[in-house]
Amino acid sequence: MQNRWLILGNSVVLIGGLSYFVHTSRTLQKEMSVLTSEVKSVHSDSDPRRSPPGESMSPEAIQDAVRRGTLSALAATWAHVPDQVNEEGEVREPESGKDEPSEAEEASPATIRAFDEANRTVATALERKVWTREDMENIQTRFQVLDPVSREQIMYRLVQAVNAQELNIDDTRGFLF
Amino acid sequence: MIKNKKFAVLGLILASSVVTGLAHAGAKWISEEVYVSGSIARGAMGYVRNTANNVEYMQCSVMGYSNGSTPYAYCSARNAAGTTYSCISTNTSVITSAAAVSSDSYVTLYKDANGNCTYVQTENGSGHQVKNHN
Repeated sequence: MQNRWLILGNSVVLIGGLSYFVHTSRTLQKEMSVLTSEVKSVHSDSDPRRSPPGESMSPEAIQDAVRRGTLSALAATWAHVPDQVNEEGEVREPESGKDEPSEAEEASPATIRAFDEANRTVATALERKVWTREDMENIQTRFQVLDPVSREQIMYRLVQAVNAQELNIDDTRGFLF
Repeated sequence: MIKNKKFAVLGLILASSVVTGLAHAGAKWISEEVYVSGSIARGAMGYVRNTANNVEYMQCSVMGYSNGSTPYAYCSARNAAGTTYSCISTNTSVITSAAAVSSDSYVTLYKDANGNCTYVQTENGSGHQVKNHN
């Protein structure tokens, strides 16, 4: 009696294992066929050494496809990871000027005008060696239009003038911006 | 005899009140005038405010712009001799420290040659001189 139950149990386990193996093989087969078609399309688009139509994939081609798939998955994952992560895994804040607009972004006429006017204000103030309340208000207005890089350029120019004792900031109670 | 006893009690009360007064005073750090030299500036806000001269100052401000940028911290100081010091920063850590400056803080600033604030230390403690409200 005990032997019967043992045989029955073993059979169930065997059948289960077999069906799992069949299922996994089919899934793998499906994934491989998807990869094969993807690689074919990639090769037909860009690779001059592509296989002739209908020819089965070489093992190297399959490896390449798998690698591409892994890389694109990694790229998708890393797209959500901040750019600046240090060795301890802490996110570092971007340094000054890092949030500058990309080259594709062009400065608007309003931004260019604001930059010119801000520079003119600074040049006039440096000439008279005094930073007035009007200068500060002018700069505060221009800074709201300027991109961070241009803004910082003017900020540093003013700060350096103060540190060189070339600009009196009494009228603005010691403030520049 | 009774008179002596009265004096003794009075003396005891006086002595204890002096001791209690001292105990309530707490530690006080010696406040400094604004110190500016090269890359360093430091000073106690409360002391600077209360000082008799109208030359010294020390301050920090934090600015934010809506057009895609990190905030800025700007700190400036001037010592009794009239030497002015200023620095700016976009560093979040520096900005946090600059934003914590109050009118009773003791502040230490460091800057680099370009005028970047590389270090802002804000001390808020009972030992520092508090500004008089005037």
